[in-house]
Amino acid sequence: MRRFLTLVHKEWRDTRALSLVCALLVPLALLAAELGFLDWRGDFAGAYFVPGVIALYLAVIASDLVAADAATGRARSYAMLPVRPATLWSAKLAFLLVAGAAFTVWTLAVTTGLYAAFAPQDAIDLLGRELDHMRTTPLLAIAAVVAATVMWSTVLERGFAAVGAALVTCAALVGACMVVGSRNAELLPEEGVMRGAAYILPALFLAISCLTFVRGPVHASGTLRRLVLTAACLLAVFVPTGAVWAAVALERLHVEPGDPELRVQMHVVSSDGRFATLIAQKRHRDASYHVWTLNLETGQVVALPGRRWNFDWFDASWGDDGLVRLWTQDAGPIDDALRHEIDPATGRILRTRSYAQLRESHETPRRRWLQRQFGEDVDVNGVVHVWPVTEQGTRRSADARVIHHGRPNATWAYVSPGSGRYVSVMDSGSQTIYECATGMRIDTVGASRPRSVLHWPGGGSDDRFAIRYGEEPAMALVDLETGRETPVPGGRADLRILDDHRVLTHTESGEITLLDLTAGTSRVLYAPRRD
Amino acid sequence: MSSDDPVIEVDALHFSFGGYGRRGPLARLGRRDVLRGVDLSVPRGSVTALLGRNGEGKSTLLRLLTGFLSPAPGRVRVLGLDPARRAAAIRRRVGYVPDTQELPRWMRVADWFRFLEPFHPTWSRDEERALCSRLELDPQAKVSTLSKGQRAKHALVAALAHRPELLLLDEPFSGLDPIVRHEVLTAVLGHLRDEARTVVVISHSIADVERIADRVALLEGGRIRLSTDLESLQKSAVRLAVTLRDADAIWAPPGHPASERDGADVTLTYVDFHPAYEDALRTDPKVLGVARLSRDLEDVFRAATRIPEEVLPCAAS
Repeated sequence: MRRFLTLVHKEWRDTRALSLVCALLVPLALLAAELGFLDWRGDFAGAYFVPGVIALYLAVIASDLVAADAATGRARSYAMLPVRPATLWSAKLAFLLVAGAAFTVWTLAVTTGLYAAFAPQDAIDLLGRELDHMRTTPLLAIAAVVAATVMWSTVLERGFAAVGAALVTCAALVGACMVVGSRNAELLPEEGVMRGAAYILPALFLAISCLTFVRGPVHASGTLRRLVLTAACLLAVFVPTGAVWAAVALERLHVEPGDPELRVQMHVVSSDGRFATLIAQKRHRDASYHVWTLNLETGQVVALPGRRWNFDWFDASWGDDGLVRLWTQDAGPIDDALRHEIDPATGRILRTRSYAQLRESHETPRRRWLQRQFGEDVDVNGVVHVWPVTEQGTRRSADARVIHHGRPNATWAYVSPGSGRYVSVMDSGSQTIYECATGMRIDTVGASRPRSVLHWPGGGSDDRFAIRYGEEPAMALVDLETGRETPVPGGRADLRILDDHRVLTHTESGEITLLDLTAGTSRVLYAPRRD
Repeated sequence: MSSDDPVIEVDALHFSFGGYGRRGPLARLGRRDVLRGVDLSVPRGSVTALLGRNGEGKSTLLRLLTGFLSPAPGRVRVLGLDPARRAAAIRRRVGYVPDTQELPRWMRVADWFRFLEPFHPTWSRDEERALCSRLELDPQAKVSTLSKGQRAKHALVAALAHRPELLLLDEPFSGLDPIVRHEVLTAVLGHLRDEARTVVVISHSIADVERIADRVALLEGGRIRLSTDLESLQKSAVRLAVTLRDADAIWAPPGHPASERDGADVTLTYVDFHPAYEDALRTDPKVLGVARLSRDLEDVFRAATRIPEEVLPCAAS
């Protein structure tokens, strides 16, 4: 231990001057930034200044951790010590950890101290919240960059180049995620995998650094050897990362009916009551949706083959022509809605129509996106009609009959409006509901611009029952005549009321049950596999 | 390890710089073979001078002995240990003075000693102080301000203060002025006088070698061409000046000397001299006269690089 501490102390002496200068610069830089342009707001300091300063300091120290000794020839002197190279490397890493922890504490103390002295209370609170958030993602990002810097410092033996290479490496990894995610969100690893990678990648960088150091602690490498080592390191980082990623993505892309990971988000019953459209999503992630049809008589599930959908809002209905109508809309800057007409037998998209602010729009970027996504299935130039919601819609929030369940936290509910009747239960009053003959529009008050959300209630014309979404029990049917509630058992996620007082329900796990309110019976139509 | 065992044993040692892996298509890429089957045995208590031209691999051999580098293939034992596996244990018992040594600029002379002390359980501060005093080395001087001679002294103190069983010196006298050279030599000799320790020294100064070494080994072409004790070498090495009757005559001397001819004057240097050679020369009708020259070890070593390897004294001798 004494030898190890001696080595750690040597590292401290090597960087003492730099560390002290950096420590002194922290309060000066913060004061200059706050007095100059930040004006003691708290958010910037907590979100960017503190993590940035810590990352900068650690990157500077890490960049010279190995490179400085190699470049000055001191590595040969240290390599002659009667200790294993792994011990030398471990001492360097231990110093980096200790120095990083100490500098982090110092930076936090300086920042909070200065804020306590000069900033208003709300800025201090904001700073505290931002610093609290720093415990997760920013620290992991700093760890990854610093570990990559250590790796490249060992391989390239040049401090400045090590920082640059580390930034490029991390940016390449993140950029690859972003590019792949923009093309197909399904390929992005789940949050847990991403978080695991954030822990594993620094360990991988450090392992490569250790291996390189142990194998060549003495000589400064030649250009050719550095090139080969660089290529080997890149392979060591990107090949396993890509392999794990590919394995995860392939596993996720493999979706079939009955997959226990599928979470049914919605089902819509056809007008004849024989089929239901299911919209499902992989559990625990914000990924693509899968659309299926279910034969209510036989329980047979027909997948829409090869389809994965990416949208923020969706709804489905059955048309009189026996086609499934899938309504989708993204919350992005292009917020036109899309209506896809899908043949349930083949899964082919027969026609896609685009609406901007509930009006048909032929020329939108969405069109090009659609062409990429759906290829030959797209027919955005087909004859479509314009929804007259804006002109003919009637504001109904004022005269909507409010049903009190005794549960003030309920959000809102509706009955399927075969007769055109809507009932809403408003909690916050922040939404305005417009009604029209064929749909409903909801505008969120206070939004920077109106965001149209199409709702196409599917199946059923009975308006006797309302669906109440609550906390416990999770869901209940409300008899609008008597006000009596009928709890829907089993933690159902959603239900639809059919014409004949039957209720089709589904759970998040995908189990679909048909309840007969008159007979008081229930029948499980579809259940996912239990792996 | 018994006291009679050699301190250093090297068998068929090979080493190459560069190359990527020991086998495979990239193994020869950029590879430079340095050692091609070195055999060497260094007895305990001896002072062995390792000689050879620049770039022959003398420093590389010392680094292999200390586990700095890994041989491929070959067998090396230092103090009975394998440097490739027990490098740390060997370095604890070995003092090594490299040809150059870079240290942090913030360090003072004593800082480096304090830094080294925990790594060597046998470190003696008394020895350290005595050596510093003998070599007139200021412990408070910054290492960045030391002259070349002072650096050599500094490295020597660091190598000797833990009383190593084996001292490896890589050109410790190179570039030193005569006074500093004398001081360093005296320190090394003092170290040898105190206890029967083993030293391997690389030097290009034959005078220094003659002063401290009792064995010599000549590294040439990646192999040890000559390995013998200095006394035997001095006995078996003879230089003769031969005058031929005809400056243009084709003539071959007896034995396998290294010869330098300038017309009728020929200088022969025998490493494996036998009196019969001199008799043969004196009775040779082409030879006008034969005279013995003073023995100059430098010429002997230069000759040893030119004569057939089989006539050279080997390690076993």
